[in-house]
Amino acid sequence: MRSTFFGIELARRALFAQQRAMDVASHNIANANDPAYSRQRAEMVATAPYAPPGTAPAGVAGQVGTGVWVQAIERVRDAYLDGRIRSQGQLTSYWRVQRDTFEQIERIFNEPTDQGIRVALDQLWQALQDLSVTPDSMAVREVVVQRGKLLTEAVGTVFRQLEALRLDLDASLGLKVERLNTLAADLARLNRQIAQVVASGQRPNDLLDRRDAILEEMAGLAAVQVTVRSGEQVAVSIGGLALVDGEIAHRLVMEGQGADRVVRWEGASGPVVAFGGGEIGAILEMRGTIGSQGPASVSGAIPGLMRALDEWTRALAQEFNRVHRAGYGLDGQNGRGFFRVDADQDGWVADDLTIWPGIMADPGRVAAAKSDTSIPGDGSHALALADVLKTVRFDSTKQVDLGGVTLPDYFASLVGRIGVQAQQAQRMADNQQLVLDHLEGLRQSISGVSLDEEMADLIRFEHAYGAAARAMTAMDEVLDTLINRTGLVGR
Amino acid sequence: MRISSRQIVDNVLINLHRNYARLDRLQTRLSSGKRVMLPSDDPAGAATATRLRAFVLDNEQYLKNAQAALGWLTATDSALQDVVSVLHRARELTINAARGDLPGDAREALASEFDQLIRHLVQVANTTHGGRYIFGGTQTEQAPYVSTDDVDGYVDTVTFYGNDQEMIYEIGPGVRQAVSVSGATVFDHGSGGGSGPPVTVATGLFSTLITIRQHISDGEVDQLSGQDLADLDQALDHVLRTLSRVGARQNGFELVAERLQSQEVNLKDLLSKTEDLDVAEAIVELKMQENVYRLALASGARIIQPTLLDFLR
Repeated sequence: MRSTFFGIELARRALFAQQRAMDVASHNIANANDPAYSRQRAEMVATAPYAPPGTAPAGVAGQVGTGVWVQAIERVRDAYLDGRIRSQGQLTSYWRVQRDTFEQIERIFNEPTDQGIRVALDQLWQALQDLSVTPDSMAVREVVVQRGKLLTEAVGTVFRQLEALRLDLDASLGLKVERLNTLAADLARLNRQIAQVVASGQRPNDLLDRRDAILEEMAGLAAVQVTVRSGEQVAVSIGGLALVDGEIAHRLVMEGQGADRVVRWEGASGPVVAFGGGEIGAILEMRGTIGSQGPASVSGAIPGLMRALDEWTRALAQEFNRVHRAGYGLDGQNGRGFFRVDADQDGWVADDLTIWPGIMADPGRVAAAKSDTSIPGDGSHALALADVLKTVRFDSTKQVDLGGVTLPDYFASLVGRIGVQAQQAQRMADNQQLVLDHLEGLRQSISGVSLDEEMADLIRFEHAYGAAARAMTAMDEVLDTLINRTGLVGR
Repeated sequence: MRISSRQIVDNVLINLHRNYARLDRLQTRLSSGKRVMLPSDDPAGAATATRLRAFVLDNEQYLKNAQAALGWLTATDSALQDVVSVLHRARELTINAARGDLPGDAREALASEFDQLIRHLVQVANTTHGGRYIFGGTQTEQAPYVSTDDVDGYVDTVTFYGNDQEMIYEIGPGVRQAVSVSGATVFDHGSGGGSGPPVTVATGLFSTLITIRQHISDGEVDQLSGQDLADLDQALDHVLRTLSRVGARQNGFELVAERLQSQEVNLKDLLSKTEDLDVAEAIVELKMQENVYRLALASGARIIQPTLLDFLR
C-alpha cells in the first residue's frame, strides 16, 4: 500500500535530480575553456521500484516507479584516445626539439651566404692566386695572411657557437628534468587523493582530468609507460623503471659538469635514465656526449658535427702546413708552417686554430717561392698552396683522411647533410603536429564542452524541474482536498 | 560527429596559424629575393648554389689572373718593339760606319751614338711593369742588367743579375701557363744567371753590339760590313721571333679572358636560377595565400560568434 505522501517524495526526488543535473551543466559551462577539462554527465537512473518482488499483494498493479536519482556523475572520456595522444605527443615534442635545434645549427653554419666558412676558404684561395701573380708585393702577402686569419676565425666561431648551443640545450635539459620531478611528485599526490575519493564510492572526475593533463605533459618530456591500477591509481615508468608508483614518486638527478651532465635515478649509483624520446630524449640526442678523448670519443648530433668540422680543419691545417713548409719566404727560409695547430689537452683543433705569430708579424714569410734562389718573383708555390684548398683530395696518403674528397666537397656534403636532416626534422614535426591536432580534435569531439548542448540541457532540466514542482503542487492540492475539504458534508 | 565549442575555436586558430606561417614564409622569401635561404629549404638546390657560388669566385679570379698576364705581356711586347727599333738603328749606323773613307771624328761620333744605343738597350732590358723588372726571370726587384764602362767611357761589359725562371699563372682549374719571357731568352745569352751568382753576358745581343761598337771605334770596315751585319740580322731575326711568340701568347690569354667573361655571365645566370626567387610566381602565391587567410579570418569570425544563447528568448 502506498503511503499518502508518496507523490511528494517522488516529486522531491525529481526536483533534486534535475537540480543536480543543472549543477553539472553549470560546471560544464564554467569549465568550457579549460583545455584539460572533460565534460561530465549526471547519470540519472530510476530508483528501485515499489514494491520489491514477492512482497506485492496479488491483484495490485505493479511495480510502481519511485522516481529518479543521480546515480553517478560520469566523466566523458576515451582512454584509448588518451593513450594515442600521449604517444603521439611524445613524438611531436621529440621532433619539435630536433627541428628547432637543427634550425639553429643551420643558422650557425650560415650557408649558403657570403659570410660562411666556405666563402672564407674561397677568399683565401683567391688571395693565394693573387700571390702567385705578384709574389713580391707585400700588400698581397698581407691580404693572404688576413684572409687566412678570417678563415681561422670563421671556423672558430662556428665551432664555439656549436659548443654554446650544447650548453644552452643542457640548461634547458636541467629545467625539463626538474619539471618531470615536479610532475611526478604532483602525480603521486593526486594518486592518493584519487584513491581516497574512489574508496568513498564517488567519482574523482576533476582530479582525473588533472591527472590526465599531468600524464600528457610527462609524455611530452619523455617516453613514459602508463599503467592504470585498481582504484584509478596510475603507475608511470621510464625505460622500464618506475617513476611514479601509486603514492610514491622517484626523483631524477643531474650529475656531472657543464654540457656533459647525465641524468640518473636518485639513490646510490642509480642507473642512467633511458628517456627513449620526448623533449628530454631529443635534447640528449642532440646534445650528445663528448668523452675524455675529445673528438675521438663523441656521440650525438652536435658533437658529431663538431667532430666533422674539426676533422676538416685538421686536414686543412696539416696539409696546408706541409706544403707551406716546402716553400720559401721572401727571406729565403723554408720549413715554416702557416696555421698554428694548437692541439691542447682537449684534442680539438677547430676552436684554437691561429696563424703563426711570425707570419702575422712579417707576411714576407708566406712561402710563395719554390726555391730560395727564385724569390721574390716566383709565385709558383702559392699555386701549390691554393691547390690544397681546392683540388687536393684527402685520401689515406694524407695525414687526415677525409674519404678521398677535396676540402670544399667535404664541407659541402657536411652542410648538405645538415640541410637534409633539418628538412626531415621539419617535415616530421609538421606531420606529427597534424596527427596530434587530429587526435585532439577527436578528443574534443568526445570530451569537449559544447555550449549549445549545455544550454539545451539546461532548458531540458529547467523544464523537468518546473514539471516536477508542478507535480508536487498537484500532490499538494490533492492532499489539501483530502485533508481540508473531506468530511465536511452538510456542514 | 559531435563538435564541441572549443573545437571550433581550436580549429579556427590552428588554420589561422598555419596560414599565417605560410604568409610569413612567402613574405621572407619575397623580401630577401632568395628561394633558398637555409639548406633545409632545398638541400640539393643549396648544394648546387654553394658550388656555383664557388665557380663564380674561381672564374673571377681566373679572369683577374688572365688580365694580369695580358698586362705583363703587353709590357713585354712594347719592350720588344723597342729592342727591334734599337736594332734597326744599329744596323743603319753599322752600314754608315762600314764606309772606308770616314774621317776620324765622324767615326767617333758614330761610335758614341752606337754606345748610346747600347745604353738605351740596357734600359729597355730593365723595363718594369708595376714596379717589377720584366726580363729578370723571378728576380723582379733588382735591375737585371748592369753595364760597366771602359776607360774611354764606352760600355764594355753587361752583367745579368736575373735568372731564367718563368712566371706561371693559373687561368683555369689546373691550367697553368708561363707568362714571363726571361732576358736570357730575349737577349740570347744563355741562362748563366740561373741560380748561381750574377754573370757577365758574354754572348748574344749585348756582346754583339759591344763588339760592333769596338769595330766602329777601330775602323774595322771589313768586319763591319761582313760578320757584324750578319750578326745583327741574326739578332734581329731572333728578337722578331720572340716578339711573335709573345704575340701568340697574348692572343691565347685574350681568348681565355673572353671565354671566362662569357662564362661568368652564364654562371651568374645559373646561380640566380638556382637560388633566386621567381618573383612573379611568388607574388601570385602570396596573393592567393592572403585571400585564403582573409577567408579563414572571415569564416572564423562568423562561426565563433553565434551560440544558442543568442537565440534564447
